[in-house]
Amino acid sequence: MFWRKQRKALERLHPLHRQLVEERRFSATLPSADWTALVASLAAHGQAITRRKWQVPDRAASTVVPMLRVLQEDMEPGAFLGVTTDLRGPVVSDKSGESRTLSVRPPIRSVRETFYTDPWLVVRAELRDGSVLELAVVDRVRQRRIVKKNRNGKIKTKTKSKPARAVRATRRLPKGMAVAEPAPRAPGWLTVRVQQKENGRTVLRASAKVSTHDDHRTLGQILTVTGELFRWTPPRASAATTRRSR
Amino acid sequence: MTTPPMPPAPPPNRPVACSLLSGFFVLRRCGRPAAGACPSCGRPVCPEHFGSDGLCPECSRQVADSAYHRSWTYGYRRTHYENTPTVYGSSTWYPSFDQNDRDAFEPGGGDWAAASGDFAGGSEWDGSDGDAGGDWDSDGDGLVDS
Repeated sequence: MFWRKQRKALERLHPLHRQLVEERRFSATLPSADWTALVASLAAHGQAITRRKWQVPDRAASTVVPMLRVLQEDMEPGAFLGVTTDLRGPVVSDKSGESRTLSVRPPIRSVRETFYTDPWLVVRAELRDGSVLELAVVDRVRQRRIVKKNRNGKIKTKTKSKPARAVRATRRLPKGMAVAEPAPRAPGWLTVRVQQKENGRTVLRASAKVSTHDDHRTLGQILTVTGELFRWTPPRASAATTRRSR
Repeated sequence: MTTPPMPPAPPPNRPVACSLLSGFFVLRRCGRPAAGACPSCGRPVCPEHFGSDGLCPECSRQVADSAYHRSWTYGYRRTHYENTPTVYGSSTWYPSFDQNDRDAFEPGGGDWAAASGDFAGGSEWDGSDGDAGGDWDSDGDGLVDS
């Protein structure tokens, strides 16, 4: 049996870590402090597992783990943090959506266009200021499969993909929390909507279409979109502010 | 014969609290009892925030470039918010925050309530240093004194 020692090491990993390695995805809701065990297990991955097939997806280290760290900082240890991540990539059968055939002319024989929707990171966090943060990072990919015949009669297939990434963040404020439009205003590529609910709560939503070229920039872009929601709620005035204004 | 009740013991001296700010979007002061001072910056730090190198996260951020490191968030928070003005087209937004602004995150806390830092007793604010002049109107003519 091949990879016997590696397989045993894999069985000793944190359950979510193992699921991430084997299935490239996991979904769990745990108290904030319990995610530390997963991060520690992922940190030691390279020492335990060397098999290439069982490597952790790049986005786990570049985006998922940093997001866990950031959200843990803003949460009480017992508050629940839900994470659903799917790092299999967008071109998977269960992520495919609308598909159609485009009209063609020779030498093109057929063009099939398929759209894939890949929500690869979905997070829900109960923050310590009483608000609830929901975040979704969704890749939408248009894939065209082009079949053409050259003059020698050989048939060739070509595939073109065009990705787009959307980051959507929603913050549900606790009752009575004041909202004020910040200055300077958000840049044009970042859309913010404020919704006043009938139960007295305010919901802030921010969304943006960001670049897909560099995965290492994704974290900063997610945090910029999310951070915009926190600019709309000015910090509470303390004794310092009160006395200074007298 | 009954003995009179003993007076309540005086409250122990309040321990020095950890002065580090925690959080990323929602900042607040840690507030746990400090275990010692950071050898680099001298700020009181709790055991939770002492790194393996014996420094506070703010000082040891140079080595924490991996998100798996405990203190990574502190260094990344600083970098992220320093870059924020380029996103918003303003070079003055983040640098406009100072320690007093951060104190606003602490209800009833901060340097004013604790009478520490720049506002400790004997500073120029209370006039107890004997300096009657300064930038304040001490003679009531509505003009700033020179």
